[in-house]
Amino acid sequence: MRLGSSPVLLLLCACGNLSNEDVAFLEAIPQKQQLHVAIPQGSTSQNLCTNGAADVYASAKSTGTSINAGVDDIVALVDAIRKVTPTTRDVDSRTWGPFPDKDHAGVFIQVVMSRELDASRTPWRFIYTISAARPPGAYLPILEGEFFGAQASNGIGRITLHFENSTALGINKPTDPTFPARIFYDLSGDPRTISLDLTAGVNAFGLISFDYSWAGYADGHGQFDYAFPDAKSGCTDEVTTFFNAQGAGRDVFRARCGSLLYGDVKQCWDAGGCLTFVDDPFGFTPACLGLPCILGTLAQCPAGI
Amino acid sequence: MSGARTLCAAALLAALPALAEERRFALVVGDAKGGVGTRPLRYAERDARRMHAILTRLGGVRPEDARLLTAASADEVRVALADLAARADQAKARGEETVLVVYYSGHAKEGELRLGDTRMPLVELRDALRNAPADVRIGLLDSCQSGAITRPKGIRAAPAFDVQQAQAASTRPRGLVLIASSSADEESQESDEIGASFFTHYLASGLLGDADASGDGKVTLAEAYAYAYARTVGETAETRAGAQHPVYLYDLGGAGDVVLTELAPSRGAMVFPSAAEGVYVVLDGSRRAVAEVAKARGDQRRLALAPGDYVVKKREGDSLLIGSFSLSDGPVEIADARLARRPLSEDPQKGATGPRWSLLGTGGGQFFFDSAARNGLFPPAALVGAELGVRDDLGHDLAWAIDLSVGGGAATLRLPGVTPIPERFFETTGGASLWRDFAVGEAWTLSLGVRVAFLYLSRTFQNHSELPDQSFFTITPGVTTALSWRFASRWSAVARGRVNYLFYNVDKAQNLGYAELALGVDYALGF
Repeated sequence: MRLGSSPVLLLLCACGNLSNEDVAFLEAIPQKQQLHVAIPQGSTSQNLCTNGAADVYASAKSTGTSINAGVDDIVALVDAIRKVTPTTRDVDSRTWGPFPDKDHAGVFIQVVMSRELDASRTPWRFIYTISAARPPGAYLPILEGEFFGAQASNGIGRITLHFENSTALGINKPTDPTFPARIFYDLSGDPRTISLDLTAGVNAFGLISFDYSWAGYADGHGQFDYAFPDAKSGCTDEVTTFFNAQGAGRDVFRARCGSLLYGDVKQCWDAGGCLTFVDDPFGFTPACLGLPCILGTLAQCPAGI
Repeated sequence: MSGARTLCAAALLAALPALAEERRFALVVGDAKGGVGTRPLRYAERDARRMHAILTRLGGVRPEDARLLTAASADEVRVALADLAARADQAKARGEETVLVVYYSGHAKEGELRLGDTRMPLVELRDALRNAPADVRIGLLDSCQSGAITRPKGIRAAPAFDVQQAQAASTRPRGLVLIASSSADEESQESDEIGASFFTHYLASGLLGDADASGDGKVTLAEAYAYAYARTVGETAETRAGAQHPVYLYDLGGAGDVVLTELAPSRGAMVFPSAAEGVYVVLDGSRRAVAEVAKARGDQRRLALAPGDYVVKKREGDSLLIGSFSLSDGPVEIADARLARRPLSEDPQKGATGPRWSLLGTGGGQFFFDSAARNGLFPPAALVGAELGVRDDLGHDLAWAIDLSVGGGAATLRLPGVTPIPERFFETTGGASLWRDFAVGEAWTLSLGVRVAFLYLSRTFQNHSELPDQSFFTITPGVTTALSWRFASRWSAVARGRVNYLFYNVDKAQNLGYAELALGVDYALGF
């Protein structure tokens, strides 16, 4: 209820946003940091590496940063409603807007969020949609989310970004893909998993088409699967990495060069980012100087991952 | 003081026995209720306490020889009277001169004192006094139709006694004197302005010193009566009930007069110098009249008041002379030059009426009745606040106030399936109240009224930056009650309770109620 200017309205006013149910709805929306890929940063000291630097580890960190930036952009759309009082409240739904989009003239944004409760009145499912329109055109979904649980920090959900619709409405960014992108997250157990599905197209967020996934365990170790282009060879390296909490890790990667698949190349590195073991039958690793090589011993790989 | 007057006073001083030479006993009865067919009196019990204080402080009555009965039954009065009579008899047996004073303030009707639902015939009281073993028995009755007690001997609505001058110290007065506040067919009137009955107020003023026409520092029975008679008749002449005429029965043998109060030994006094002229009203800290001085230029008056803070005022034309004085051990001169001139609009009034401002500081809590509402939404809150109140502004015993409180606390929001969320909340509430005061005895007051308030509440969620701050504002009507106890002239302790209605409509329309309980201290401001 909006405060009226009439003194009579003031006397009758019971207004504000004090609402437990609003909190319940907002708690079902994931936060940026909850969907971040968390690659341990390792030691910051500059070590002189006997077998060379772990280039895969470095690429994993930069790839994780790129993914996190993309996720931030997506979640920012949902985050915006936290600062706005719902326009209408029903028992099991909230609606925000339509509001004019301050960044795009002539565009209106509306957010609808609904929930389903179980027999104990505990929410078990939330559905939310951010739609945009250029009146008199129809509203098109630009983000859809579904969440299972009562609290995003420990539930399961997906977010679909309809870049094809934001492109059609002319509200996309130049770096945005033009196809739907999906985030799946499962924060309900150990490990917590987050995956980014970019397989429907290419070069989204500067990443190549791949199903990026990350699994983080409570004790700090984790797994990160991703792909990156190798500019030198012209191939795409598909990487599966494992980290411990200190940043030491191992990886297995394959190089996909046209129709040819080369694998498996295995590396281990310590927390300082130095290679401790290399088993590269193809000489992809810089330390192998283009020849098949085995450097170090397998025993020097971090244990337990 | 003229030379002749000085000689006269000296002669009287020699003739009058000092209080210390006598053993005095006093029974003081005040009863506001008179049973079926009567309306409670506002000031009967206060009048009784006032007289009890004067008699024990200035009247030579030892505390152990005084009985103060309020809301007592007729039998309790009989027992107390018999007890004092027995003590007087014992004192007399020891060779002491004895005086017994009985004062009554309350209802009387159809020849009977009405003590609650019990009765005591006036004839019985008169006979009890007549037969009491004390050398001098004095009955002072302030009640409607109390003049009936003087009937058998014939009433005298005269302005003064015919007191024979003492010829010798051995011819001390002995016998019975009955003084009634009104004749047998008159009503005795109370005054909201002075916060007392007319008769007792002027009798008390006289006993405190204003009746000391001789200036000898002693107020005699004749002086007190003459003073009370003149002031009562004069001040009630313009009332709706008409003039009230005190009457007396004087049956004293011997010669001389009976000293009722002796001013000199009292600690502290207000001295109205000879140049002072007019009617001065003395108010205590609660703005109730405790005495009046009506004096002509040339006399000096001394009011023997108890130590404390007082306000003295005098109307002069279209303005008011007013000043605050503190009495301790020494005399304080009340000269016009020490009074500030103010407009009449600032008159604190003669007595208990007129606006009386006060400031109340409170600390307490707020509690919503609905358990679901208490879950994070409106958790129990601690509040501190202040209330500025005005009593007797909109009418007698009616008061209004504005208040403001702030507070808050910490709570935990529990939602199904969600980890409990700690929150801190801040609250501001304020409002306007209107209530009525009901005096419960001399120092206690019960208040009942209504209040309209605003309530603003905001909360923040700790360690949950993703959750925005929330707030709520509304107007809430309610009822309020308080019990206050005046423990000093300006200070009262207050226990207050409020119940308010709150309409909440954010999640869903809900009718909620909450209580606010607080303890506080009230200070009567000097305006």
